[in-house]
Amino acid sequence: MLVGNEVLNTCVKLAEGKEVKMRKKRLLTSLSHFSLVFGIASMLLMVGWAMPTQIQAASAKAPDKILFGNPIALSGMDAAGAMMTQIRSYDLWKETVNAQGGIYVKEYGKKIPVEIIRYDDKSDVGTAVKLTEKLLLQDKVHFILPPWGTASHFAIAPVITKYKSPVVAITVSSEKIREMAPKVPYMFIVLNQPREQGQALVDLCVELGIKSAAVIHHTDLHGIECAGAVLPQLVVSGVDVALYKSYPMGAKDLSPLLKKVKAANVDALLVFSYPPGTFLITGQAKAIGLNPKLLYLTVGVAFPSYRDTFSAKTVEGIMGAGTWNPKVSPAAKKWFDRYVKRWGEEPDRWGTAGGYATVQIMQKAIEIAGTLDPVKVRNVIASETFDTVLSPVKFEGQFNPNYPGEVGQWQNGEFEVVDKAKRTAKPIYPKPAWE
Amino acid sequence: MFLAVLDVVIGGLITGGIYALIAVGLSLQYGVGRVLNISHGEFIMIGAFSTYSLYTVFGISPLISLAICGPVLFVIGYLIHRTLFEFLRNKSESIDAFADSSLLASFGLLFIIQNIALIIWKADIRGYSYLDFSANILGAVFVGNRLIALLSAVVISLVFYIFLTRSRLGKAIRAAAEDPVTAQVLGVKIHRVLAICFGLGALMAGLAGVLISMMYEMQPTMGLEYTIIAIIVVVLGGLGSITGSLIGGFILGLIGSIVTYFDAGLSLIAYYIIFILLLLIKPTGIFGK
Repeated sequence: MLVGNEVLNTCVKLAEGKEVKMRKKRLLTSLSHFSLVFGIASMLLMVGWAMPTQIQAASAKAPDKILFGNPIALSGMDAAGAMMTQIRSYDLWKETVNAQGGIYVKEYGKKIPVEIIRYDDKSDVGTAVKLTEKLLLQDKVHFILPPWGTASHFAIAPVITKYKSPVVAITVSSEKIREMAPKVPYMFIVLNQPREQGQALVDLCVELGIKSAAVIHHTDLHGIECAGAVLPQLVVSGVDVALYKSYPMGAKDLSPLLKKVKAANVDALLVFSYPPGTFLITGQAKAIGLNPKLLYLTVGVAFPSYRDTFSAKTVEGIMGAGTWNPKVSPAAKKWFDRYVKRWGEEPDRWGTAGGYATVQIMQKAIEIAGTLDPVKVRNVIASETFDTVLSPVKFEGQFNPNYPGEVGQWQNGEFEVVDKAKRTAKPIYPKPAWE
Repeated sequence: MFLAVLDVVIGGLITGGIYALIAVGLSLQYGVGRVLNISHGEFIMIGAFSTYSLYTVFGISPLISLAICGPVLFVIGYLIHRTLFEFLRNKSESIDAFADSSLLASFGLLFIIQNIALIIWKADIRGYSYLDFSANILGAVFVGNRLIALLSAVVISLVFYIFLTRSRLGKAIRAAAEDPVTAQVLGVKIHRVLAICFGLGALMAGLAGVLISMMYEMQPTMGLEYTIIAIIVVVLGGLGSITGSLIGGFILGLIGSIVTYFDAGLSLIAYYIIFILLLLIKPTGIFGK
């Protein structure tokens, strides 16, 4: 016990000695701190007198980078679409902007480089929502670049509206989002929607003198909406719909269905499909010799890999949803070449250029607003006209009514715009025999 | 009418042949080795994409790819079992505990393999055309590559069936499926046999992948869809019954084809209805004990 007390006393003494030394040291350090701070402050003041007030404010609070948060599918079912339509476009844009020093923000009087913080939402809508909130609240990103797919956009729309963070979207296609739009004023959509696409398709059918048609659709919301939009318009236009059938996502053999279409001997086969169905039906239609005068399929036809899988000769004359191609403007052609050079792959002929347009719009809106304030940027997006690689974009009620094309057709290895109003080439009709 | 029946039957057998190959693979891994391999479909994907690259880059015919992809995937599967799953099996207190931990481990494998594939092949949709001529059988028309796939599936299944029933190793595998402990007591090198089963499962998946790549477009995330079908077929055929999985695959293909003939929209629903009915009425499957 005694030994214990001695040890304790010695410890206390030692500690006191140390304390005195430390006090002295602290005094010295705070003195030197004070002089340092004083020195810097007076230097700043002197510099401040020499600088215009605007720059003074700017250098005080300009961020190092403009942060864009991007929750998106890097794995799972949506990864393919996300890579093709959004990720490569976003990254190419970031590289282009940063090579020029960044985006000019008037409020700070300088160009600020861009950074994208990207998380994998694993193709899960719930995860996309959580990541969007995390990006806004924890990572404190300035803006959000959206995830891939219609369902994810429905899911994040209330979140970005709650935090007043504008999103310019490309991969969302649904008539339901049109009804929802007024409640989510921070969501803007560049992609053309089923209504315009259906109308253009029906107009084309009428122009080409189609008398009878078969309509097939997949049973996801997208297929049901598209087919539902087209069916009444066809009937009103006097086209006889001889067959109206659905097939499930994940179907592995649709030849029995296609044989029925063949037996019905219709002028046009209109298929509202996602890529797996598009590829399956194309291959099987060719095999059983189903060759209607007009063959239209939806998502996937505009992919270069569709042409490359079947060969340009095989897909000659096939129509599909879209559309955009390097011929729509000189800027489009320049961007197309840049994209191919950077990624070694061609962009698709529908949404990829649109994906790039969404970030061009964000950039321009920030420049015009001259601030990173999301509400002000939102108001600029809503009111201005933007020149993009897609086409000029001016939102009407949060939608872009001027997509460069609605219906495309493979002609000589290029996906030409053939709808009546915007065509880059005359439609080939009837579709040539399968090669 | 005759033509319609022929159409439906051959169409069903084509899809069924693929299902059978996939399911036999899973049956070997789960029925014998108790590894409910959720990453089974990823081996299919590897087979499909390897074939794609071999064909489009080197011009190697997919039929030759069968002989390349099969053995390579067997070795990969064998090594995965000898390292990962054998370790888990030795660590597990009971065979049920092993089934649980191997399920989780194979989930991990799924993500690892899928992400490696995403790095190698990118996320884009890929495909190629091979033997896509029209073939006429008594008036019913089919794509050439589908008939080749059916033929390949039948030949592979037969070879495998003979291997299983006639060879010494095949007998050891069946013994291990019946009762691993007794098989071990009687001199079967159980770890080696289980690793071979897993390797054979990967081989079957790889071969199925090669055939699938001739018929469908592909993307690195395509695997899970096939894993689910394999699970349905394995349950349909009876757990642990390899013959059951073979026949179950063909049955499911036929059912799909018949339902598609009447209403394509109901074909996948039919699979799941059968699955649920089976679990309720005969959970051991058609050939299960």
